[in-house]
Amino acid sequence: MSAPVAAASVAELLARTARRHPDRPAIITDGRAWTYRELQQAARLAAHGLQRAGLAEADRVVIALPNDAAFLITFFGALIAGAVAVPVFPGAAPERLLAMSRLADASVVVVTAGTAATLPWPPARSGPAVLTPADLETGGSPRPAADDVSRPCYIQFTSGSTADPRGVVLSHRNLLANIAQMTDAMDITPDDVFVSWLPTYHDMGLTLMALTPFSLGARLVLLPTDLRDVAGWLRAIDAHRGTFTAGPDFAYRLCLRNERVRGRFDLSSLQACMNAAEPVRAATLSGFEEAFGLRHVMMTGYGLAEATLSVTCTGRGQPIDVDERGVVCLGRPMPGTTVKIIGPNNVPVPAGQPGEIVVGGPSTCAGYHGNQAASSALAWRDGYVRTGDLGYLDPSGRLYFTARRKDVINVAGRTIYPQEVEQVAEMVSGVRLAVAVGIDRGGVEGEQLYVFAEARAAGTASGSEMQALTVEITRAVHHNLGLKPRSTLLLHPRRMPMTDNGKLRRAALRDAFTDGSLAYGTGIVFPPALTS
Amino acid sequence: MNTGELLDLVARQLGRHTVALDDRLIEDLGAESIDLVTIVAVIEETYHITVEEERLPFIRTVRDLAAEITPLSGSA
Repeated sequence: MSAPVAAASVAELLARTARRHPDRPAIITDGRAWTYRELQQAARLAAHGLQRAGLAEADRVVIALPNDAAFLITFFGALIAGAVAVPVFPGAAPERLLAMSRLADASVVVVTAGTAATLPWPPARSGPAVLTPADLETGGSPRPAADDVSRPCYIQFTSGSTADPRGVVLSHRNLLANIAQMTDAMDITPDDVFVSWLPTYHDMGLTLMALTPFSLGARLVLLPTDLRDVAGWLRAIDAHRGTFTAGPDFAYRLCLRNERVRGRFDLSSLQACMNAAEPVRAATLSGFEEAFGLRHVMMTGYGLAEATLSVTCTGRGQPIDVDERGVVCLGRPMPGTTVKIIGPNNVPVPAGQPGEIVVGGPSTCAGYHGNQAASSALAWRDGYVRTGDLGYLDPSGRLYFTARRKDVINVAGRTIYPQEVEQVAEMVSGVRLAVAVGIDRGGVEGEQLYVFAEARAAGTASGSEMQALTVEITRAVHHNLGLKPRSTLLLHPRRMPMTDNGKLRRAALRDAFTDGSLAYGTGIVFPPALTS
Repeated sequence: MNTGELLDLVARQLGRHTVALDDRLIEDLGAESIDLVTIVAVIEETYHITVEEERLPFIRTVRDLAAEITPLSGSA
């Protein structure tokens, strides 16, 4: 399968598909099918609507919408207007949306009607314009925008921490390159039927599961993101004869854990199940295929937002190797991408030796929006980004991932910077200090977020006060970041491990908790250790 | 274990200040699949018990959850 002919912009990818395949279904979601013609027309109306609200070329548009056609229409509308899309978690509390809009210097924010009603802004004339999808459904033709592949296309926030924001700026060139690479490396064709519940505000759900099929005229069955019911995902694959799906290892594990879905659905149409964004467990690969009578449909891959998305993947229809220590192979670099492993002295090491993974190629980003320090630290050599992740290459150049960058947390495929969680937790009244770490206890749920907090009233608070504080921290983290901590634990004063110059030592805290030296009575004041 | 402890635990896991025995975990308390798996894992770890996997689909309410644990933990 050849890669698509180079387009001048990501907006042009959709326009071209709409010209070539106007009547093919593009999105099937929420009981409705949108053809490519309809999608393109709606995106043009959205572009016009955004321009009516004052959007100029190169402005940022924050898109806080759930998985449905409106998200993708708004996304392409922003691009047609020559603007930069900034997708964010749609469930975020109003203060969080405001903070994200400030970080992105957005001139327009698009939210659901329900969210718009709760927003305390625009404050006077200084804030961004707030629009809902209904504001973008009528109008005329948008002003054309200049195509320039070096311009930013969208900003992917991997951390909204105000002290150290990580908004990865991806150019049209980055996106076009990675889409073409994935199409080639994963043998994606116009006949593929994508089934996705991955959030469209995040890289895999957007770039692999939406932009790539749109570049070819393939169809996307788009489901809500919440995995309240994994059966909904499998049912959609069955009903729509899905050929291509993706998810973190956790999602496949959940299918195996749930007796209600195992073997109940006919998934024989599946050709590719991308398993990425979370450490892949060998048992999941074989377990999922066995449970549903499939063979060689699982694919693994490595990627990160700083390289747009995909860096490596295994071949479609190919078996997946596992090394002697049980580490799952993540395949070869995308065509045109180079992966190197570097040692502590920043020099590449020979095959087989572990070190830090660095990535070079047409999809690697130039840096973070408004964060020069982090952007400088990201570069290894010209055109290469440091991932901070550890791994090794086998003699044939295939990547094995062994450990994630220091302190970064990965829950169910989502990467979270601890600073972001800590900032949210410390905004809760009564919290003096919070530390967030990721811990994998080996269960089906995989790595989970643990929040350790020191209360201002530590030592004097009653049990019910500590319960209320714990609930409030969980609530704040969930409302702002869309995930709940596995545990929120209150510590005795001054039990947080610090370096001599007062920096938190998250790894030391994690180790103390994991080995049992930090437990209820030896540092943890709440919740109490219960016994049956 | 006692009911109050379980209600407090569910409240902490889901970030809800009040949780009642007949609340449905998903519909009333906003739990997602991962939350159900997590709650069971936390209970297993805290009370040193094992909830059989095939029982998970039958846990709809907090009361259902209590019923799965009580016979295992040996005290009410």
